[in-house]
Amino acid sequence: MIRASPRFFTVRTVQASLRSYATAHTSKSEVDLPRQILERGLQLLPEHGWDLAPATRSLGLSDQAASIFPNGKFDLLQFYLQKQTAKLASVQLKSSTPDGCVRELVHARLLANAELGPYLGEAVSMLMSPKYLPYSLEQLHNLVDEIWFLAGDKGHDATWYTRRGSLAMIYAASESFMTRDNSPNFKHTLSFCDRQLNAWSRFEAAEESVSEWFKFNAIAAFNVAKSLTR
Amino acid sequence: MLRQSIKAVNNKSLKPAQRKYLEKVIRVDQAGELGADYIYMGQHFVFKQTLPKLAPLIRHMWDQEIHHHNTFDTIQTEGRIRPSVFTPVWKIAALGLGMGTALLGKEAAMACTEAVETVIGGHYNDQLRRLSKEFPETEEFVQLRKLISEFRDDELEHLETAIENDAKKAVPYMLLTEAIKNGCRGAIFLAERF
Ligand SMILES: [Fe+2]
Ligand SMILES: [Fe+2]
Repeated sequence: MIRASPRFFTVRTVQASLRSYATAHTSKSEVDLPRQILERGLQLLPEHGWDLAPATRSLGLSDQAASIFPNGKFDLLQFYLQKQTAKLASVQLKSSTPDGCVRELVHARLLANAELGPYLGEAVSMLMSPKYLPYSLEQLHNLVDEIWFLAGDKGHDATWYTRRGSLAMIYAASESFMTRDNSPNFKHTLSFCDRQLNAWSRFEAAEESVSEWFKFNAIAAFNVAKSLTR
Repeated sequence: MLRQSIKAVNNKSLKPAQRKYLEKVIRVDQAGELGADYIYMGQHFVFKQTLPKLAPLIRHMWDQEIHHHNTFDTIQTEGRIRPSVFTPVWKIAALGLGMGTALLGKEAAMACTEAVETVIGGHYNDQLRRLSKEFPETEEFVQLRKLISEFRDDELEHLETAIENDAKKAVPYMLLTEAIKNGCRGAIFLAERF
């Protein structure tokens, strides 16, 4: 887990408060104000991008109100990412294998970016900026963890890490591919993503047979050693 | 009991520190039961060939460990908890420990069981104490404690079996059990954290 250094303190605080807004305080409107602004920000996203000032203005507040978000645009982006991750639970999965489900979920998540239009590129560069990277990685981890969970992954060992790590890389690569993709319905992005996923499942299958091989050969090796030393 | 334990781990009203503690508990217990599973796997494999009459006894304990291991695997997945990073190391170390002690003979294998179960039993007791002190008395936490104390009782039964089967006759007994105990404590320290 990422440690909070003073530099990231403000990001951490807002994130923590977002989390508590999401759970408690759904009725008290004054406590809900930051959430209201963020929700409005999402509605205005396709027109105005990540800027929060249009959201505060449309709620009848001064532009000053946006200053409760110390990271401005990035706070809205984080809110957007949390919502998108949460939405995946309602995707109707058709595949019967975890790999198939992962593919469906990744496609669904990528295609949700379509509504961002020109603001996807800005999102990707914010996510990759060194200042926000720890939080971007946390969001990315939450996304891939959710995808593997929904796909029914039962990784209990190193695969738990390798699956999340590889999917995170594949997703991040596909998302930045997407910013340059003009094909209809992001056909090229999806096939780029599929190529990576296929390569990964071939690799994982090979790796799994190696560790199985190792387990049985460890037993066999002991056996041989024993018969030699008797 | 399993369903309720998963509910306990996923309880949304827990303080972050409490959730963090439960994550540690599940992670270390999963690693421990994986270790136990693999130790008995190794011992069973060796005894099937060197001392077949001991194999059914080992098999019985192994089956219980498989049940413990599966249980914590399920809680880890459903509780959205990461497993220990060192899982591959635990596997190799435990399989090696099981096969190695079994190759040394029955007494050494039993001394290994005695050492491991002493530490694990004590560790479960520490957890139970903290779980009853710092967590609510609601059904799911009662059931989580019940699950852990059931497993602890199984471990203590394994400990008795080991002593009945001449664990103390292993030469040099003290050196072996103390070394294994220290190994277990080190593994607990690492599995809780990483
Ligand atoms: Fe056990
Ligand atoms: Fe045991």
